[in-house]
Amino acid sequence: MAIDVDVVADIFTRLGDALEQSVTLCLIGSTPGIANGQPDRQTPDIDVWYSRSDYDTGDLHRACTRSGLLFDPKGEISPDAAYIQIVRPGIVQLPAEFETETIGRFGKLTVVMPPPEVIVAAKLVRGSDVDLQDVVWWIAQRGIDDRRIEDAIENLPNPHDRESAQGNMVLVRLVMNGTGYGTQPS
Amino acid sequence: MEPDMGRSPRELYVDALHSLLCGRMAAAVRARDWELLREVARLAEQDAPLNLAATDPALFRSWRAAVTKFHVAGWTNMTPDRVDQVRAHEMPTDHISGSEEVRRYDPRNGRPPAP
Repeated sequence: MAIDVDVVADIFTRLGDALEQSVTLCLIGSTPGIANGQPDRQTPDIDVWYSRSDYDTGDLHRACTRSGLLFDPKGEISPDAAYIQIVRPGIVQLPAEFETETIGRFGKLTVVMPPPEVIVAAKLVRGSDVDLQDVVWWIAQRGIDDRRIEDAIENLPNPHDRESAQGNMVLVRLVMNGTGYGTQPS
Repeated sequence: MEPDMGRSPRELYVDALHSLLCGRMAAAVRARDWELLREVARLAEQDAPLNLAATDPALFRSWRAAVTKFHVAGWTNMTPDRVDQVRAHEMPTDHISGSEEVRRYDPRNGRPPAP
C-alpha cells in the first residue's frame, strides 16, 4: 500500500479527532519522512518512540480503534493494515536526550520527531537499502552535513550501533553537499 | 551481493541502467560497487539520449522518469566525480580500472562495444 503525506495527515487527523486527552507522539522510522513529503514509501506502520511520547494508553488505544488504526499489534495483521507500533529502547536505541521537532498538530494530537540527524544516525545503524534511501532523502531535504550526523552517531548509546553507523558514513559523503573531506586526497 | 568487477563496458552499462531505472542505488552503495555507482551517476547526469525518443520511446520515457526520481530521492550530488572522490578517499590504493573506457562508451554514438 502506497502511503504519502496526505494519507498520513488523514490518519493523524482522524486520530486527533478521536482522542479525549492531549497526546504527543514522537515518530521514528519512516513515518517522519513520509509526513515531510518523502515519496514512494510503502510502510503501513507508524513507529512511536515511547520514551519521548506522552499519552494515556487507554485513551490512545480507544482513539486508534475509533479511527481505524490498530494499536501496538503483536499478532498477525493484514499487509494493508495501518497501525501504531510502540517502540521502547531495545533493538532500537536512540540517544537518551534529544530536542524534538514538531511535525504538526491535529486536534488533540501533537506529532513530533527527533532531529533529522538522529533519524539518519539510527537508519545508518541498520543500513538496509530502504534505510539508506531514507538517509539520502533526509540529507537532501535538510542539507544535513557529515559533522551533524557524526555528532548524532556519537550520542547513540550502543558502541556496536555507533560502529555500524560509522561504517555507512560513506553514503553520506556520496550524497551530501560537499564531501566533508577538506582537502582532496592526492 | 558482491560487486562484479569483471564486467565489460556493455555489461556495466546494462547493469547501471537497470539500477537507475529500478532506483537501486542504495544496493550498489551497500555493495561498495564503485564502478556501478559511477556509471549510474553518469547515466543520471547525462540523462536519456535524445535520439532514444525516436528509436526507443519507451526507454526514453523510463530513463527520463528514472532521472527525475533520482533527483527527487536526493541523489543529485552523487556525480561521477563525487564517486571517484569518495572512492579515492575510502580506498586510496584502489585503481579505477577501466573507467576511461567506460567514460568513452556512449550509446548515442552507435552500437555498444562487444563484450
